[in-house]
Amino acid sequence: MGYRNNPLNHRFLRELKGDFGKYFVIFLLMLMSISFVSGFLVADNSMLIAYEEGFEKYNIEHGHFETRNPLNPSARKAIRRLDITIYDNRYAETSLNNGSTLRIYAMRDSVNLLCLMKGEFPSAPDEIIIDRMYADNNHIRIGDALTDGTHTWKVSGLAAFGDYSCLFQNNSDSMFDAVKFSVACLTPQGFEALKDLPVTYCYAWRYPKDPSDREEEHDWSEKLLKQLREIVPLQDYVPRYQNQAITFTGEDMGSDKVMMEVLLYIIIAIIAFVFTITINDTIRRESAVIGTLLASGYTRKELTEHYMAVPVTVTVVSALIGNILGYTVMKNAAADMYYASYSLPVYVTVWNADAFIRTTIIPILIMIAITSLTLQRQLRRSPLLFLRGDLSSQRRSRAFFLPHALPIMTKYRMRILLQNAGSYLVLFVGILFSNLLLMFGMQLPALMTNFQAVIDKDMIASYQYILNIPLSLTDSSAMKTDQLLEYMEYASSVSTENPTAEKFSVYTLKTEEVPGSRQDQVMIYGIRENSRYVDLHGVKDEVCVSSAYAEKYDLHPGDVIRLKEEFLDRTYTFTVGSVVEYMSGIAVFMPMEKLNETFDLGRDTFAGYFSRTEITDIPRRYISTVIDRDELSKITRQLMVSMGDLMYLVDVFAVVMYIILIYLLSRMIIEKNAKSISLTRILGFTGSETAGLYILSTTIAVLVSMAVSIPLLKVILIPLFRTMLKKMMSGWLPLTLDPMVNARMFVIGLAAYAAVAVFEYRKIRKIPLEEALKNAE
Amino acid sequence: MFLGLRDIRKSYGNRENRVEVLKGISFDAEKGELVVLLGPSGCGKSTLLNIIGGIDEADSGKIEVRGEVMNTMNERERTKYRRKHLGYIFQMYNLIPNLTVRENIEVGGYLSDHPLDIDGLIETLGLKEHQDKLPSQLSGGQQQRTSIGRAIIKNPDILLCDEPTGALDYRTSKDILKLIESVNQKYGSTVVMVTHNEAIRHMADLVLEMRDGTIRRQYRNEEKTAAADLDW
Repeated sequence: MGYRNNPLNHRFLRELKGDFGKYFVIFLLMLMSISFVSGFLVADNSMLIAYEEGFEKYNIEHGHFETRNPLNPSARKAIRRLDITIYDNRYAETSLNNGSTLRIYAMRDSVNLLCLMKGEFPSAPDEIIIDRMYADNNHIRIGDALTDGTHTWKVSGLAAFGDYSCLFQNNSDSMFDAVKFSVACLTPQGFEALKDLPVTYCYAWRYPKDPSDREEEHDWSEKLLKQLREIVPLQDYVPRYQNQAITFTGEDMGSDKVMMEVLLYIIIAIIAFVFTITINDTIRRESAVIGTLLASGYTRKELTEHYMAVPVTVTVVSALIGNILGYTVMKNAAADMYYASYSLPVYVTVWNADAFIRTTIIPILIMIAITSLTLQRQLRRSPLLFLRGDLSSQRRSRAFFLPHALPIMTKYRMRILLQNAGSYLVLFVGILFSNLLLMFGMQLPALMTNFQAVIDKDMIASYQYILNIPLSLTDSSAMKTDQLLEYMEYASSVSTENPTAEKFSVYTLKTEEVPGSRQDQVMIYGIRENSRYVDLHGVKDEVCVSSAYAEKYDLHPGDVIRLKEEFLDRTYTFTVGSVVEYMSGIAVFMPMEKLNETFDLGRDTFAGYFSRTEITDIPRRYISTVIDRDELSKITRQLMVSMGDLMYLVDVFAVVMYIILIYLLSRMIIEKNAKSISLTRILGFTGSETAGLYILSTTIAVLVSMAVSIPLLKVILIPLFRTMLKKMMSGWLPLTLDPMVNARMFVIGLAAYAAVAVFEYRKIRKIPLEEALKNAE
Repeated sequence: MFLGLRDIRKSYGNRENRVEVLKGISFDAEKGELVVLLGPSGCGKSTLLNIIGGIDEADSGKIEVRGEVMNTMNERERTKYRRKHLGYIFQMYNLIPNLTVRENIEVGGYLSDHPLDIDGLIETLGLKEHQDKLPSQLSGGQQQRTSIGRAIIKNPDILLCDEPTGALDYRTSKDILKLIESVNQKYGSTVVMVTHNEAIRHMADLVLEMRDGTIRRQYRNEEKTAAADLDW
């Protein structure tokens, strides 16, 4: 009677136990990666569902527009005839004593409803509900008081505002700001009490049904814009698909998912190659056993299954436990990261079959494919060759010539390096990848610090005031009487006595849409002749672009740029004549007269002031934006809050992966050479000499890998940052890598390696002398 | 007396599984003598060789080499002893697979303050044209010559040979024996050779016949046979 089970299976546990250290660290690495990615995908998917469902659940607007004055009854009547429903969504803004700006609405009951996260909705005029994320970032708790000096409110609750899932104060901002900007709601009575604050008359609209796609949404909004302009002068017009405060979150969450999956597959592929090296080594070590089993009648399939059992089991167990951890612990960590960036509503964990396939089935399949291919290739040899230990790749190999004059210890180390080139190559890829993560985690904060320094250095002026030109005045068609009056009032109010002030004109255009990149809003500055603030390098017919623009779009003098109107189907082309050092914004500079002429603004029109000191004599309602150091710091401040934790996690993960990979591969190299190590000791080499031979070789490989990977990473990382930042933000950060980060990475790498080397040193010294005599017995 | 062993005992296993491999081995060999340890498989001759080589430790007894007592040496001193006095030749050659012929021999030379001239030695061993090859590219005989080269380049006082011809054919075996004989004569190394080939006893100065962990008979040859004249 034959065995029902393959008796070789009895070796399974022994093999696992015998090499427990190795399999445990592989398990650990896979567990970390799978649980992290699984948790991330589950949280990402569940929160994305909550975010998308929120549009209907919280009746989120299809867009909003702003008017100078409240809509009069005839305008309301005219709008009612359009195919939309409008909702009063007026707001007031105030500066809190903590330096933040608070945009206050009256409690909404029909559009842009709030998702209560904690506490209660306000029930008294002095109670306020604010954005949950802003509260987190500023450590504001329920019951705390908020004050702007005039008003004081008690925080009754924290909420997610569906129309501000990302806290963009202005839609043209480069980055949202959840640290110094928040939205809030008061009771209607509470809102009415804000009489001293200027009110922005904002109206949200909804179409009778959702547009079927982006194109339809675009067409509807273009049509609506034309219709509204006929009815009322518009101060601002933002359809939902262009509203960063609503759409940024969804777009960012989608792109994160792809990045995480790629990360997982790279790690799995590295681990699979580690297993390949292990399998090759096992086959070499067990060649006589394999020969005997094949000669006894075992099939190659049975042996393939046998040798695949451990790696595949380790993968399956890691994937299953990783998913359990993903759905429990890691999901919360990932959700916390999203909650740290976005003001998302409460989510419910949703079973994600796609995540399960990607984090469990695919890694297992990758592992099965790579290990079975390796085994099939290795086991193709005849039983006799295995019995003789005559593995063809060894027999065919020729020695790489090394000069005789080199000292033997040098040659010995070089031979170790050559012999283990495959392992060292995997080590190099592993180090490259770990360093990529590490560099990413360490350079991003450095990038922010550098950006802050650049901002300080090349600000055009300490203050830039952009005047609030009503949208109606940018329409070149003939003005109606009320528009003319509005213009006259505007023109008389925007002069200043400030001696450092210098007028400039400005026009805003957009870059053309490029897949994978956010459209940039380009500030076209018209600069006065002999300006104290901007040197146009003598360009007249051409334009200057800011260094940020040049770097982001790789522009050089002579290049032609095409820019389009935001709300009109009109494009402009300009030739780049020179680059102005200005990293804080995507901007174009040209002589003021030329700008006014190009955009038909009128010869003496201007749109703002550059100033060294604060301008205090222009009414606030005519100031749209003040660009000062604080405003320019918004990008760095928000990116640090959003990505700070993630970067820290990435750093830790990178270092752990780095240690594990070096440990695994150097351990395998030592195991592979156990007989030679033992032999050198029999011959009279001391333990330290032998350890030195093998450890120094790995040290050389590690040092070379680190030395090569760091400049190589620069080549990889800059385009990576470029792609990521293009996707994440409008505007630009100077991609200057901090060389000190390289030094710190080198030190971290060396410290991690030193820890592993101590283990390896002990392992080498523990190899018994009898190891070399095993075959001779 | 150059090499002296007194009542060497060695057991493996514990309690009921305990097997006594050496049961009181004693012999003396002079400088430059060729000692042959003869006996069937499992009689303890390789264990004895490993104990002389400082790879294994005796449970009791005393080993003296040039007046130094080996039993009292710690691991570091034994390493120094192997480095200074011993050359090792194995049945399966035990060359370092990723080093060339020349480099394998150089590994031995590294351990000596006054190694022999490597080029002359490679020439003598007939390995000149193979010196840049890896062991896997060589025949068994060439590998064993390399192994001999590695052992003798440091001009050791004692050359320990564990079945040096055990894996070789008749002709190659004779070549290897001639080489060992010439090393013995030219450099004056004391050679201790383990073998189960009865014919080799005739080239020895001292023959130790072992069985079941004991020396059943030991004698000195009045007249030795040159390796070239051996036949089996």
